[in-house]
Amino acid sequence: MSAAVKLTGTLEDYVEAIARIVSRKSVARVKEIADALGVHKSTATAALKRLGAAGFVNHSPYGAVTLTRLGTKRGNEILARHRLLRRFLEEILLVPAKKADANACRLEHVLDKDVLKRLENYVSFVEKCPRAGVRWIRGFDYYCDEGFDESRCRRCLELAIEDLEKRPSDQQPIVGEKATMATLDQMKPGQKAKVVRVERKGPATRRIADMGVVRGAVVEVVKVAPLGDPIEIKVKGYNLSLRKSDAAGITVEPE
Amino acid sequence: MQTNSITIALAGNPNSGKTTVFNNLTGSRQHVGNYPGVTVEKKEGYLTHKGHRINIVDLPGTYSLTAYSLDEMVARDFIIEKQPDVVVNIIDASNLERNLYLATQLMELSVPLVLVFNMSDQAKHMGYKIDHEALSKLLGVPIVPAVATQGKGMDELLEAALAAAADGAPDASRIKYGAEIEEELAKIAALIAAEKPLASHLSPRWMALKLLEADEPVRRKVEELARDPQLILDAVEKSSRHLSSIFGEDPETVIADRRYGFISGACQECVRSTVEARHETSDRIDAIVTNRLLGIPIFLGLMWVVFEITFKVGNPFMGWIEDLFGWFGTTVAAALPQGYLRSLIVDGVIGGVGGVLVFLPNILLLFLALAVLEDSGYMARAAFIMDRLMHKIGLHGRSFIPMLIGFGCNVPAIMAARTIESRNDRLTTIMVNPLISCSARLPVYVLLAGTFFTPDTAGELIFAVYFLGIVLAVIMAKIFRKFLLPGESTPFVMELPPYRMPTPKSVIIHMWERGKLYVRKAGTIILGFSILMWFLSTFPALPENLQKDYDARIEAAAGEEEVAAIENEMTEKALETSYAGHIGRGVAVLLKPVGLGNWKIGTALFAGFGAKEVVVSTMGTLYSLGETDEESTDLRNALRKDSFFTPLVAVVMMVFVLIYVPCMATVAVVKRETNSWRWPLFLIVYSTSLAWIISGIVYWGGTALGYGG
Repeated sequence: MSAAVKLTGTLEDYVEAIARIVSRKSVARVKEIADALGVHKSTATAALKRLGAAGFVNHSPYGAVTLTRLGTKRGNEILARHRLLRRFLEEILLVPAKKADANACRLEHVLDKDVLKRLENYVSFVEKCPRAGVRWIRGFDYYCDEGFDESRCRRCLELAIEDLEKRPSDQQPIVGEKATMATLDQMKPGQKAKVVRVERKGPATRRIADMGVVRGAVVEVVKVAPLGDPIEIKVKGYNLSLRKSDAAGITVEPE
Repeated sequence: MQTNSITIALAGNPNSGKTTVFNNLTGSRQHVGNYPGVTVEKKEGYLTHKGHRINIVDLPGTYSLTAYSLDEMVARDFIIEKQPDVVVNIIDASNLERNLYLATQLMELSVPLVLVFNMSDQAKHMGYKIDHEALSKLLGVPIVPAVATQGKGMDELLEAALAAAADGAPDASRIKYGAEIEEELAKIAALIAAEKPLASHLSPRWMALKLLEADEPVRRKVEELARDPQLILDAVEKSSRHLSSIFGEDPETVIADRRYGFISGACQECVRSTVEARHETSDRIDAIVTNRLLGIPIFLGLMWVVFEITFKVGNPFMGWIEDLFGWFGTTVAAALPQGYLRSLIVDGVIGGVGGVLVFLPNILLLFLALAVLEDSGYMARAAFIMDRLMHKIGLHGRSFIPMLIGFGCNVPAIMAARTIESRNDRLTTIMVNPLISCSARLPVYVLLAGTFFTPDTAGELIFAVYFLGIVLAVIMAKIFRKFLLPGESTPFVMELPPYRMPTPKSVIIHMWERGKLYVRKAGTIILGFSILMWFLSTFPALPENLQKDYDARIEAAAGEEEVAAIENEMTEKALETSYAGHIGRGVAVLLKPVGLGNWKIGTALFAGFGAKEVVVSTMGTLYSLGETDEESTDLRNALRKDSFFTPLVAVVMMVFVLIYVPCMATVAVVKRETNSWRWPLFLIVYSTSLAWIISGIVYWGGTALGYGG
């Protein structure tokens, strides 16, 4: 249990940034951290010194930065908190993704731990309660645009009961993603999967969708190019190659 | 529309056999041009069938008709603006679902349509059983099975096309997108229909659909033509958000989704597959060709073969053409009286035309090899293997081959860059290609390095120059991609088509087209430049008094050798006093800071614009040595004797020759390939500036390190 080393908000940001970078590659460089936070390298170095002294990071001058066990633990907590807040904002309050991300960043510094826990519970409550769920959230969106429409209430409740009676055990998490999902770039040659979601990233995704990688399509990873990138997949009966960075935006459900 | 002539537009995915169909129908009666204002090629041809004259336009191969890619926009605009009488969609029947994606979009354009299920032999082989009638009824569009490589189905195609042209457009609203989207579509379409100015031949439903798909051109049209565009655009925005919240994805994605859903449904009803359809043989070949270990060696091996074919096999032909034109030149020279006319014809015109045609064997052979690789399907694998490396530089997998060809000659290399889809990647590849040291510069290196250094060091130096070229190409590519031609290159989402046997006919037509284009388009520019260079090096002629002196000396000369020596001296003087000589002196002034301030060097470099090898022969002329080449001991001695030339100067000159303006043939093809003079001009300016800078660095660095003499 960490001694109550209270990190200031900014120092927490550092831990968060490092944790993010480290999850993609195993070490972080001072320049990357500085860039991620939009500060000067010297500012970052000073902050890292303090974190090092507090036992959260390992840092040698001009060297790479890694998190200690303490740092990793804290980093994961912070990331989880951020993810939760973002999910709440994006999927329940229907705030656009970028805004949700930015606001989540701010909120996580302000809310108490127990308030966060409540929020976490609320999110899973909305997922599970049959009176809530996707339709209910849809209704919320409609409400934001058009105001309250009482005439729809009865039908909405009827549908909720229908849904409940249909296949309660089979219910996929209505909000959020299944634990077994992955992104296409994580799949290994020979694996098959069903496409769940294609993240919108501009013309790239449009082309990908036009080529048949749409929700419900079955794709099979055939191989990786000799230099490590791009990958070749089979979809709709033919072979398609795409870069790993584009494949990372495609969420799939492995078979 | 004349009653006896109709226009057919051929549309279809790349690799669907569209070009084969086009070649079948038009044979040699085709020609290649450009769509106005863009660098997309336009292929047109014609044939006569039962008294009708049928014009055929081969639209660019596309997977879809969105507004994101230039090819797709060109295809779509052609259909909308030019309104061909019928669109014939060539479909790869062994790849049905994806190919039908384009078909659905064509259906929605409300234009007479015929679907041709090409490669139906392949489909059958893979176990597909397609009920053409049922599918045709379902889609509301006639379907014609075909095997284009065997010429099967072509007549039926034409019949169906003529019939469709007469029958009119199919019902565009066959494809339903589900209740939610249909509801929104109806709302928006109603608003559009109320706007008279927008009611062109485009259906309101189509426009509504495009607006939901965030289609820029259609949006602009609404903004420009509607009386109250905001009303429509706001409605679109509202519908879009509504649909997003329901589906959790934006409408564009859902619409693509639904299209494939419709196609899936149709295929499930009308297509039976007896086995799990896979392209077995293709997969087996790929197991070796894109293998982790074997992939790169095989690729390099094939590249070597292409290189050898282009240059080893091509060079003898080049030699013949040079000889032929040389012979031609001397014969004509003998027949004409001495004078400017003779000089113009022999040196200017014949020399110029020869200079154009000399590249032809290389180009034909290169495109023969490339056509085979492309048609067989290997090119896609090559791009697949090389993409990671190229992407790091900021280029595309397909950029590798043009770069490689550049070591032989930049002219065909730049022409080969047309396989690169993305405009920015393509332009960057073209702009940095001249930095790859072509074979014409080698004589200059050999001369300079061989004269001032021991054979071993000379070899190392030449290698270093080549290496410098590569390094600069990589750096400039990165710089260009970042600052000059930025922007997301089209994503590397590329089909790896099944391997197919290329047909001799299509390969040869392809090769021939390229050759023709080169001669006609680039050739005229090169000829123009040749005559200009001739003019600059011939005028003004030797002043009369000097000419008289030389004539007198020749009269008094004792024997052939002395006459030759005097003539060489005369030629040197003539060049010195010509415009070219003046320009050379001007160039020398500019080059003084980088150590090359010698008028002979200046003139030789200027002449190098004609062709890089000419640098050597010009040097020979300027030292009064008549005809020389890089091996000539006379020339080497002359250089050593010239106190201006030190080893450092030789190195600086090598570097300058590496980087500075490429030969006029290269400039000409750049103009041809980019369809404007902007890029060739930029190329000239940047390459010369860069040459100046880098040579400067080498010179000052060398002097500082004590190498200057």
